[in-house]
Amino acid sequence: MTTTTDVATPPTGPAAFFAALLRMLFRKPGRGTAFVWSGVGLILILTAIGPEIGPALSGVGCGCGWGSEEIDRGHALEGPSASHFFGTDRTGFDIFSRVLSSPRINLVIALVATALSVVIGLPLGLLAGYVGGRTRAATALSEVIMRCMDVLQSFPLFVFAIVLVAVIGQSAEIVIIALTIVNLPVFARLARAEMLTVREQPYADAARILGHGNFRLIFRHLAPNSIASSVATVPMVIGFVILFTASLSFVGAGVKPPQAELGGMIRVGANNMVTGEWWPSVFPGIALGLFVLIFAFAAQDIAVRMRSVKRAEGLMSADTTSA
Amino acid sequence: MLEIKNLTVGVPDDSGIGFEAMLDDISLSVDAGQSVGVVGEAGSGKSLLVHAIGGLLRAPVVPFGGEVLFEGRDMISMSADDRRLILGEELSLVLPGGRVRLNPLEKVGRQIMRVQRDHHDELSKVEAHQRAVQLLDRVGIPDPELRAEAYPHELSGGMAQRTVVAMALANSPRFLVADEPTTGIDVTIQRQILEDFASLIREDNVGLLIVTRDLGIVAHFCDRVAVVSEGRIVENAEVREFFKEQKHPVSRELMRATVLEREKAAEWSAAAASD
Repeated sequence: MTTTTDVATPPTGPAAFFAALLRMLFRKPGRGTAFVWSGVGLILILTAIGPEIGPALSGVGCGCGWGSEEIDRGHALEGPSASHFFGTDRTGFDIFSRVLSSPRINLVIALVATALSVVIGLPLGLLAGYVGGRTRAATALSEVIMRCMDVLQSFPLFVFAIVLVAVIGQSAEIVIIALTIVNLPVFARLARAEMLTVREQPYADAARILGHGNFRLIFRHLAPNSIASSVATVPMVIGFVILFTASLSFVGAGVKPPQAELGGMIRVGANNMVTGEWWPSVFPGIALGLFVLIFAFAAQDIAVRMRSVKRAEGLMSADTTSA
Repeated sequence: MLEIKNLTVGVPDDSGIGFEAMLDDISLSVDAGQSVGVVGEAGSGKSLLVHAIGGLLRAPVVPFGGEVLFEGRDMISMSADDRRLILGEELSLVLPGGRVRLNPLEKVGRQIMRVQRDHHDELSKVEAHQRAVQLLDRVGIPDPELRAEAYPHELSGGMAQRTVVAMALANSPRFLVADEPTTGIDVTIQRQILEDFASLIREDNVGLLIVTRDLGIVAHFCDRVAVVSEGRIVENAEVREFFKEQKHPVSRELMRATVLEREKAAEWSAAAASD
């Protein structure tokens, strides 16, 4: 049962390690891949321990230390200094500590909302794609699903969220529901579109004549081959959701203050911009921009990798090569 | 064993009453231990026949009449669930195309294992894997142990085609319908696979319906030959008779198109006579 293959032993040692690291960083395609993914990693770490390490890190300069919802009385609206790296806002919150804590709110909302839209949207899209056009009833089902997606997608997000907040109240759950509803059709559409092509692939027929039923056919052959573009879109949607969570909070329909949420922080700080106190909104603004950018790059990286996999499989069709 | 009776397949015409026939009144039978070759020009309906047997016809193409009896059971009218129990187990199909017939996201070894375990719950993974490796070896894939771990895109076109054949043979079916099973495989391996088919026919009494463009394959490996043209069987003869004299103009045309050298014609005629 054993097969021996002669593989050249790769060189070891610190020099080889750094050479490999450099190659990884500057390799094409996906130059800077390592930066992007360490950025994603950093955000995830902050989500996990940000609010806990915030007080310790913000206190490095002065031996003090500020929690994300802790007020430094008498030092409101002070510029960046050794005791407050990013300054304080008009209430006296330490901006640095709050920025470190913000992924706990922003990213968790983004991850949950995205996960929910994938979990609901993907199966709906796969189902609609698989049954569409087969029988009259199946086509009707597929049409009902996709027209519901149209309806969901046609809600103006802001109006919808503000109505929800007005009816139910302001909370992170409401933001999650609103964003799930808005993003669910994205995944349903992508999955349906791919399923429509995948179900006509020669290997679908081949699986049928080997005795696979519909259920096995979908789960083993069609679904795994139909989710590529959805997977590549996930980080993109996460970035989008982070931005929209912040936007909703900015207009006051999102997360309740004083929770450390980027949009809310920018909103609070925006009032002081005109009088020259730029730090309360610029630092959270930069953080927000970086988060969205990092997830956009991550999405790009996944898409590039998938393209090269497809090319390797020789399945790349002519009309997508230009993309 | 496989008896196709008056099979008619077509597309409904605009009136909704009649239809345009794509396969017209096809009758053909293959006994156990017999191999029948189906030949014909491109678009004559050879592959459609295979699709009809496998239940792969899709609207608007529908069967309008006739039966495909496999050991007395009609493959056309039976439910999809019943058909599924037969396909890949008692009757296997080999579809043309090679690599495109394999799931690109699954290792080929696993795909062969799956064909076995879908029909035999009792089979352990280890047993199925061993058999998968044996099957790959049997269809002439070098390093079968290693290739079982390969994804379809890591195989050459010929190896992928052989893997498709291996999948069809996985459950030792009693009947094999092979549509261009050796297209794209180099001749030595082609011979190996066809000889494997031949030994299945001789020793295990398997029936074979083989669709091909290669009259050489028909001459060497088939007992009977059916010539299809425009959805009809225009000639159905013993191979020996066929290569001696073609009765239908289409058959003569096929011979003329493929057999360029007189010696080859003589050689095939001799091969057909000796079988």
